[in-house]
Amino acid sequence: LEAPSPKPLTANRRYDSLCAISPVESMMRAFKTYSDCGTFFLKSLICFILDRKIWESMECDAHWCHNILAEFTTQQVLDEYLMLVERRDYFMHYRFVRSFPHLQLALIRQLINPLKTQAIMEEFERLMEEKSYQPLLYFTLLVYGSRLMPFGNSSTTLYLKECTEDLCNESTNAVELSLLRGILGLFLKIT
Amino acid sequence: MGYADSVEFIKGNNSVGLAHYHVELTEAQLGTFETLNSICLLDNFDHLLLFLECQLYDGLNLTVPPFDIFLVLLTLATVSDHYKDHSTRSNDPYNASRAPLNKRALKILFFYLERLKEFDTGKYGRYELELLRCQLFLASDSLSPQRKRFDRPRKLRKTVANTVYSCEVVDVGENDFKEPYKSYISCLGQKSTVLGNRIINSQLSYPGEFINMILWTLCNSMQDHPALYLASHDVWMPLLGIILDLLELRQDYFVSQESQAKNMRKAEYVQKLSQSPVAVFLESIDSLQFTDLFCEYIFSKCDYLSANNGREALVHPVYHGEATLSNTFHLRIKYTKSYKIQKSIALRRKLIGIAFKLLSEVPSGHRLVYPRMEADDMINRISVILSEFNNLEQFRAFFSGNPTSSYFLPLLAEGTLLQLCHTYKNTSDPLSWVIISDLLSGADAFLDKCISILETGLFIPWDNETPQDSILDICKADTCLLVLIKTFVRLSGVALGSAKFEAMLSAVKKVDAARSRQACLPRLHPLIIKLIHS
Repeated sequence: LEAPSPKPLTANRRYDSLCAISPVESMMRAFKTYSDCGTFFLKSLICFILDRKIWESMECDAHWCHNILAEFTTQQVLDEYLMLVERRDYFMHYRFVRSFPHLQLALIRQLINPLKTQAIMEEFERLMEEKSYQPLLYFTLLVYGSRLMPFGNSSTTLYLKECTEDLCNESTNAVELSLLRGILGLFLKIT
Repeated sequence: MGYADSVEFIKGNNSVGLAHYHVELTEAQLGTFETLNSICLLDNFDHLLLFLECQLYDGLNLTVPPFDIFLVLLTLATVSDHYKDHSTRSNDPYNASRAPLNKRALKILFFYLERLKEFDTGKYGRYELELLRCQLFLASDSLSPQRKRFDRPRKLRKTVANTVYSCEVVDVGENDFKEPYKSYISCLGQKSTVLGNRIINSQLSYPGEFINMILWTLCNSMQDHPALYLASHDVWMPLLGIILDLLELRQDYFVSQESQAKNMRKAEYVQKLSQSPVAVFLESIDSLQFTDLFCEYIFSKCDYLSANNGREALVHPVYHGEATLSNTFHLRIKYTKSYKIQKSIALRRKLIGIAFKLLSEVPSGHRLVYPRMEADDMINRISVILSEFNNLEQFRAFFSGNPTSSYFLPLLAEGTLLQLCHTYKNTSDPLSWVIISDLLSGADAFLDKCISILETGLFIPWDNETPQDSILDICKADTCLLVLIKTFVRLSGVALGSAKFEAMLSAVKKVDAARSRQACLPRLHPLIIKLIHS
């Protein structure tokens, strides 16, 4: 490790080390002081929360995310978010929903039309046919737990699990499918 | 009704050896317990966390994990990838959530701790909340050092130069945990480690290990060495925070439910307090020379005059390898000195708060025997240490807490101010002002004391040949005075415009005028005005 220098820009001009991030807690505190700066703030905030290093930190939890968004309406948040992320980027949607669990159904409403279990199943089948297994995995994580896709033993979940098992047996060795099988098994057990 | 008062589903006093807070299981809860138990036995930690994570926010249904899973989560929180990158990767190679296991475990623990603290029966069922309390307390009680649980050798062995922790291997931990439920067998009987780390309650129950963990956390909390700092910042500071929070909640429950204070004489109550969770926890430090040793530990590695007096506590990593960075780990966060100081001192303040929490329960005129401690002693000892601080930033960080929520801060500010005054006057008179109790007896008396202390000369450079030498003490005195005035303003806003208050402000202005030749000293008057309007 390099000795700390009092003048970091001169002593440490390599790109990456200038980018080294501050403690997450300090950044969160800084963000809080700008919370009345309108939609530009909202955009920066969403980018901040969804950044991998912030997302994986122990400090930035759903409680904080919920509180700092209290000023904005659900629609404002979702509009801003969907300007930043592709509609079919389920990987990001999953992270978004874990950070803002209270917006889960509202986000699904934006993505799935009509808001019915049937439409969700169609998306499942489409992803399976396309062999888009990674999006399939995150789509599952995104929709479960909402009113439309409750946890626990249900014919829908059993059917999905069967489909996944069939695909696994069809000799595809996609790791996402075996993960999905495990996760659906787990969701069946939640009562 | 808070977390300590809800008693609808508890067992209460009983003769069958169950805890007072014991709550029986329903069939549905038993199902959840068993599911988590079996996931855990398979070492499938991703599923364990996912199971809990996807139910954390469901407003109506609180999923309560059993006590053994809480212990597993606490242990999982120690498996940080700064030293265990290899183990965590091989346990969960795909890592669907892209977040490390230890941080996910911590978030879940924070969540449950918050639910217990808020105890919101409007949001969750009372049964679920009392069950949650029961599981967290079972975990907390098995973690905390227990008095005379085993006939074990004395924890500390002192040599002339060092305090050494004996490491005799006594077979404790695995078998001493009594299963609280007939219908549910915890996974701890079959599971002794989590990704190579021994389950936290059995790891910390080795003689001297609990205290070592606290010292390990504190000693590394302002480290320059990155691996040692991460061991403290990413693992033990949050964990110790959780353990202390649980201990506080447990103490509240003891005081309001288990102690039955109403039905006994004060002397009996004091005896009973010696068996309270916080007393047992503190006693594990030392029961005879408690105050000195406690203060020495609390301020370990802080920069003050009599620090370490020639002896230094030997600490070792709690888990093997914690102090070495994984080859594949890349540190991207820069922790500044002042960030480290803030976090570290806040944790030390929290530990002091725990001790005062116990002291505040002792009725006046009585004293605790185990651990042998008294409020005045404690305040004096801590004040002496604080008045000897060489590092102003550490000193200010200590007093940066909220003086109305941690009520001991004004007491310590007062004690420290008096101590500084003694050093200045070079006397050892018994402490002559009791500012805080004056505050209770009337605003004018308090303001009079402030004026008289401002006029002592302590606040203006008094070392005429080398004024620099007095500046550190003046800055410390400023900090203390501001804490006292802040407390005063918060507690009795009414007297602000009074003649006495104006008199105090003019004493402050005089001090400021006398400081005009010293550019490095801040002006007090604007600071006080800012404080009033904040």
